[in-house]
Amino acid sequence: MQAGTELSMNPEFARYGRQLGIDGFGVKGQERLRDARVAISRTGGVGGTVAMHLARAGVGKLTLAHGGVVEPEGLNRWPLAFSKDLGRPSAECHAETIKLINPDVEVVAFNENVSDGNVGMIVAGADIIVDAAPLFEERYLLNQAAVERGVRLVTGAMYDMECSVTVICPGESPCFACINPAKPDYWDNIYVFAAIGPGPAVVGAVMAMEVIKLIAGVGQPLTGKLWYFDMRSNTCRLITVKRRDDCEVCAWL
Amino acid sequence: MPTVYLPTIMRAHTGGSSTVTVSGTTISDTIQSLVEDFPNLRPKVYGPDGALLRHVIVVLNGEDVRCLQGVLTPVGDNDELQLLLAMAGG
Repeated sequence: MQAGTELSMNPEFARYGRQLGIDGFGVKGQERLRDARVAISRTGGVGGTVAMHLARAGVGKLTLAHGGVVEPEGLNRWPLAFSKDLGRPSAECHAETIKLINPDVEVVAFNENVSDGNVGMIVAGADIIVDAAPLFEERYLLNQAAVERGVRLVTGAMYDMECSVTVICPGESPCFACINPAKPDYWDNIYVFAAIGPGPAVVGAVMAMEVIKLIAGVGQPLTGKLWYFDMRSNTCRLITVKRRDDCEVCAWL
Repeated sequence: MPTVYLPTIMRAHTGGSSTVTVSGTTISDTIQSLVEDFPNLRPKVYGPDGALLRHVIVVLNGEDVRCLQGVLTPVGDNDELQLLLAMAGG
């Protein structure tokens, strides 16, 4: 009997049978996912994709943060919201969908975007923080929170058909501010970037895999590497990035 | 001559090309050649003070040049320079 088949007879892990056979993953990896909490902000195109994959993979606890309501322009790429949800609080809809995907996942939802006043609450207890925010201000806050707490941060972004993902291990790898010391002055609202479904979906999928790799302890995470993929020109690069000695966020580590 | 790979937002100023070939023997003069050949790129790369904009990440053969010698890093004819803009699309 193949390992996956045998292990999937355990009712607790029945739905994860196919992934138990992933080299180096097994029951131990599945248990680690089950016992982990991941905080994700926000949960639209990129973050929603992360949340969806982590729920399907069996991450036990998800904290979702996303303010506002479901708008029509999100429906081309948000995997956790549907036409019937227009006008409803985003986080509430996203949490509902996650529970439909996997009722065993404990979901805590904040119908708020990350701010100075709530970032601590949103990332509380998280083993991994996922940054999928559409504004640099929120990204810098999540980065700061991750560095202060020594919690690993998986950050990914897209613009048009360009994608990028990296993993931040505070004190070991460059933090978000090391790599991006300043935001572009034109990035002053969430509508500056064009996006079509496969773009955020690819970014979110890579980020989800990074979270799984980190929690389960398999594979090589994108620590100190910026994965870049331009779906328009089919150009893929793995860029080496390093900590800045003068980084105002993490140089003290 | 080195190749420069450009982000989407800059391609409107190079006739839609994602890659261009320019002259240069260091990061600094390669980028300078780029904006001389494509003048509309200048404000997207340099600030009013003439310094490289901080949200522009410069990569040489897959390595952030801040890991190397910064803008003084030598560039060879077969090298690929990539300009990468900070992104936050989520």
